[in-house]
Amino acid sequence: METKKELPKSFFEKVRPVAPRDSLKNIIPFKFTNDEKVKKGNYKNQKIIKLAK
Amino acid sequence: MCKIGDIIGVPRYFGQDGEEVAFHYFVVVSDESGKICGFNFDIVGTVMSSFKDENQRKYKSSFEENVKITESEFDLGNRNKKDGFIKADQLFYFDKTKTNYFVVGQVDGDVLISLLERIGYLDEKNKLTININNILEELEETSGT
Repeated sequence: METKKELPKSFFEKVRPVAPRDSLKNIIPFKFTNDEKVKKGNYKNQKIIKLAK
Repeated sequence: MCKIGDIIGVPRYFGQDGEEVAFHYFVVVSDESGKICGFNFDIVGTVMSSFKDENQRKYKSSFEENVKITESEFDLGNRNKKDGFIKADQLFYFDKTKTNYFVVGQVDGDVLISLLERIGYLDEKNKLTININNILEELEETSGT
C-alpha cells in the first residue's frame, strides 16, 4: 500500500508511558469464521503464514 | 513480511500486565526496524476491534483515542468483517522473530493516514502509551546454587 504519510522511525523509538493494565478489557476481537487455515480455536499452534496477495 | 497499513493477526501476545492474550488483529503503523528501551522491534501495531453492538459503537466512538473504521474501509480477504475501531493510543511493539503473526488484509490509505494523524495528535497530548512486553528478552533461569 502506498501511503502519503508515514511517521518517522524516531517517533517509534521514543519511550512513552506503558498502557494501563485494564485498558484492553472489553475489546471484542474479530473472529475467524471462514478460513480453514486459521479457524478460531485452532490458532494456538498457528505458524507464521504469508498469505498470497 | 508485512508492511505499513497491513492488518495482521496475532494469535497470542503479551498484554500490558505481562499475561498472554488471545487473538487480536493489529494495524501495522510502522514496519521499520528500530530500538526502544534497548530492545529490537520491526513492527509497531495498534489493536483493531469490531463493535459488539450499537451501544458499544456509541461508547467506543466517544473516545478520541479510537479511530472508527467501517467494513468498506478495510479488506480481510474472504474473512467476515464488520464495522469497528482502531485503538490509536496504544502502540504495540513486535519483533518478527519472536511473535507469531500473519497478514490477513489491509486498511484503506485514507484510514491509514487518519490513524497516523490521530497517533501524532495523541502524542502531542501525551496520551500515547507503549507495550513492549512482546520484544523483551527472556532471562535465563539460574539454578540458585
